[in-house]
Amino acid sequence: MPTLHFAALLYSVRATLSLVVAATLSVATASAQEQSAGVSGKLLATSGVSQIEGAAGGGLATWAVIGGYGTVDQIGGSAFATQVSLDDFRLRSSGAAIGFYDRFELSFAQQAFDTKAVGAALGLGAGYTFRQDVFGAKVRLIGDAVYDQDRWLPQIALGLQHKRNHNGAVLTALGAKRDQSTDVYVAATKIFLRQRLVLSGALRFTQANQLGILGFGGPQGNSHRAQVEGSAAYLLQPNLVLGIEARTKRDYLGLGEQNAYDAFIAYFPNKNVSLTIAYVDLGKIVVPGKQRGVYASLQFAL
Amino acid sequence: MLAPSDTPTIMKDAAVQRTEPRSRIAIQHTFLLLLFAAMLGVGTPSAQAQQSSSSEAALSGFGGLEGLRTMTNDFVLRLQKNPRTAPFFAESDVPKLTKSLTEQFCALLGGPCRYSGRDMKAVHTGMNVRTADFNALAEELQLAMIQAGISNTEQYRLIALLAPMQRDVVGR
Ligand code: HEM
Repeated sequence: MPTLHFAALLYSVRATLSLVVAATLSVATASAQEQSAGVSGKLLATSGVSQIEGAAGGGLATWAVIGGYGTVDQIGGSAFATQVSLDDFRLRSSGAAIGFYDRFELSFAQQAFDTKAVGAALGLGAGYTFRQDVFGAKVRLIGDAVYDQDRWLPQIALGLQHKRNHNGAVLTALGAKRDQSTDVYVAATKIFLRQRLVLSGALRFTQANQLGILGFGGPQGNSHRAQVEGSAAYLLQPNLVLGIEARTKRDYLGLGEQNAYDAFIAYFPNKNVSLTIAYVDLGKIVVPGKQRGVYASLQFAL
Repeated sequence: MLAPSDTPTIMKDAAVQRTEPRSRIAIQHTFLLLLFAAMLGVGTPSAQAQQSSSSEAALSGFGGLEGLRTMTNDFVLRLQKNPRTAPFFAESDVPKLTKSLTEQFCALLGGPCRYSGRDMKAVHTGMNVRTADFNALAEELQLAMIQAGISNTEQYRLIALLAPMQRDVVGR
């Protein structure tokens, strides 16, 4: 038990640290900006927020936008901490992304999935926690989500997320085939300013079980399959966005894995901070019933 | 169009019975319907252009031509103060630039005006305007519109019309 508490403490210390570093960076850069006027060039909210795996996106879905407020001439970045409190579990994710010249994005996220009482029921121990690191890269291929208001072409990006789960032995016992794998996705995002809408869709090729938290592949299959992610959001005002999302998942483990949905509100008081609150439904996760709950995410950006 | 009031429906649907399979189907259907409605609401870019008839009514959201001119004048003064845009407009003839921009905004919005200034590419050539400068200008415009009490809908309408000009203005 003490080790579990220590691990949880270590986790929150690390999450807090990444936020503190990001906050310090934003303050430092903001004051530098007053002289050089060289940072924070994108329009408010147009780089989205950090999705659960660390890439720029909505909450669950990945978007084609590049993280941070850097324009084609600048480097930007973001750091985030997200907590999803579900009926029987708690998922935490924290990490950072760097956007280079509104063209490339590198991201990292560490996820911790606390099984709480279910862990004991499964014989893993109460509070048994699955951990996963996600290393992401994204490149914008064509289109501009903001400026191309006179064209149908959305902003399109190609990305990958390399996932390394730390719980190999337990994953094998669950029936998963692998403890690391790489997702590949194509995302298309368009902001319709006139209609105040953001529409985004992504096709993700993955073999992940519950995003990879329960490993990759299983008795029901082991190949990468196309999954769909979609977001529709309404720009209530420049600093307030309301939206809904969906993300399909596949049941490789034969444990009844289901699609995920959320309804979110994201608030951007300024370019350095955003807060996203969502109601999520991640579907069935091992135990009977759907896992629903509240998603809260804090992001610092520059 | 996806109205903000549509979202709570999803939340309400999602909140019913954890284990009831029907609720999942309901959520999926609601989601797909909303997505579909959102896509229909978008309309084509050409349809947008036709929407605005060439009349005073097109400017009613801006307080008519007079309101538009007042807002634009404030906008130009802001451009001279914003540290990012100020160097570009330091020596600008404010009344002349206000007149040009008012005409241009009025014409774009579908109002009873004809833009008499120079071509956008030609005007901005040699200025080496960067995307961040362009965005700073857009932000000042937004602030000027907020200051003038212009609705969110009308603000987004003008911003949407100006956004594609980024290609003519930036990097020349
Ligand atoms: C959508 C964005 C923009 C629009 C619609 C726009 C429009 C115009 C118009 C109508 C004129 C006057 C042309 C004439 O009278 O012949 C003008 C001039 C000018 N623009 Fe822009 N412009 C935009 C963006 C920018 C940006 C981002 C900058 C630099 C930060 C800039 C800098 C200038 C300057 C320095 C002039 C000359 C002003 C003078 O006469 O002193 N413009 N622009």
